[in-house]
Amino acid sequence: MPSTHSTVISKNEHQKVWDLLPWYINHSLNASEQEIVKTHVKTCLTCRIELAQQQQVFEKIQQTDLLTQVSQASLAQLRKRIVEQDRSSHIEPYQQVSKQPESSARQIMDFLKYGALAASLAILSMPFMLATENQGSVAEYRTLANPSDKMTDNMLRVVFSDESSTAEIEAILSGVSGHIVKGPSPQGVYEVQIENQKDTALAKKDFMVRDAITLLRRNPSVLFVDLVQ
Amino acid sequence: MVTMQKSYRSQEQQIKEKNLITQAANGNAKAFEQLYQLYFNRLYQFIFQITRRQDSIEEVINDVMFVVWEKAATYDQTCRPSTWILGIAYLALKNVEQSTLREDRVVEYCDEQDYFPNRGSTAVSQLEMNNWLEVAFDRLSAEQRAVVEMTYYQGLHYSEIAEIMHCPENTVKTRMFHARKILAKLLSEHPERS
Repeated sequence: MPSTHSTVISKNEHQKVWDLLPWYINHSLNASEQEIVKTHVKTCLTCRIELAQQQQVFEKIQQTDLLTQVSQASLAQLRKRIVEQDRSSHIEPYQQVSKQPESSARQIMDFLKYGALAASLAILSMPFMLATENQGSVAEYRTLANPSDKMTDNMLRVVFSDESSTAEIEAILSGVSGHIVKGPSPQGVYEVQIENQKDTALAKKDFMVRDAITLLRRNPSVLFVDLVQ
Repeated sequence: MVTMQKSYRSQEQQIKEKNLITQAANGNAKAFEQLYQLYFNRLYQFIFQITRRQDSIEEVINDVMFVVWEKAATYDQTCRPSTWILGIAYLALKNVEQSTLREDRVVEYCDEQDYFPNRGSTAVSQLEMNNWLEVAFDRLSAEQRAVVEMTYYQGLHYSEIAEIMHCPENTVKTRMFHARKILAKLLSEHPERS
């Protein structure tokens, strides 16, 4: 019986000391608590191991540079933002960005421009549509407003408003790291490449292209922008 | 760094801080500015470790120090200045940023297996890339982070932490118990552990 009693006391003491170890490490315990811990640790291997481990944690926390922590937290938030933006793949159906009232002549010109563009694309896509039907496979129907997720070429088709000068167009494109590769076509369509560096990772390229599309669509001088399929 | 802990807790430091609060209570703006300078880094660290967000920290610090300025006359000198000021900060965080304290995400780890993340899990692969402490802190609840921060960085006794957090001392010990299990486990798994 005495030995059992002593074991129970020892267990209670062990638990108490185990709980106090962090405050033994930070030197905030009062004299009597400190003495209890000090005495117990001399004979308890478990507490000694725990003490050494918590000492490591304590030192690590003490040594950690706050600026590094803050920058890592910022980076984590940025990563989250990039992932969220990527996930939402904000290539929404094309919407007229400019909300300013437009003259009827301008609207007619825009209509003709889009009409011509749509007609030429329809003619170009006809052989492909027929070919897929002949092969008996399921044809993948895609409109300009519903492009593929794959953006390996970084190429966009962009139509600017008639009022845009060459200098303005270049300024707008340089704001999204883009440059004109071809155009304007008779319909006023430019083919634009977004920063094509060979060492840029594919995911980053995709992100940059999506970002460029969003920024261009927000620009009132841009009437139309979409990926080259 | 241990010297920093000692300087936080030293009698000399506490007397100095108490005097500054008394002077601030009498409208001495210069004394208040000194107190502000003394506590800026501590509060920054404290707020960041609990919220894990760096935006609007300065705003919270100013809210806290505004209360210190306004209520300096009510400080009764019985507790340490740090207990009083960090207590105001903790309360401000609870009131203002309750939604960001992530209490909903991790409350307390009661299941033993939670201390043993699977190899190949996101947390473990993150560990291989980032500072393990960052990952470890993210795995703790806001309450656990607060206890660890106040113990290992601010150097407070568990009774002071209980006072700041308005909870029993045993709750502080329990939060620390779970937190240190998680920290120790991640420390032991980290390849660059010392």
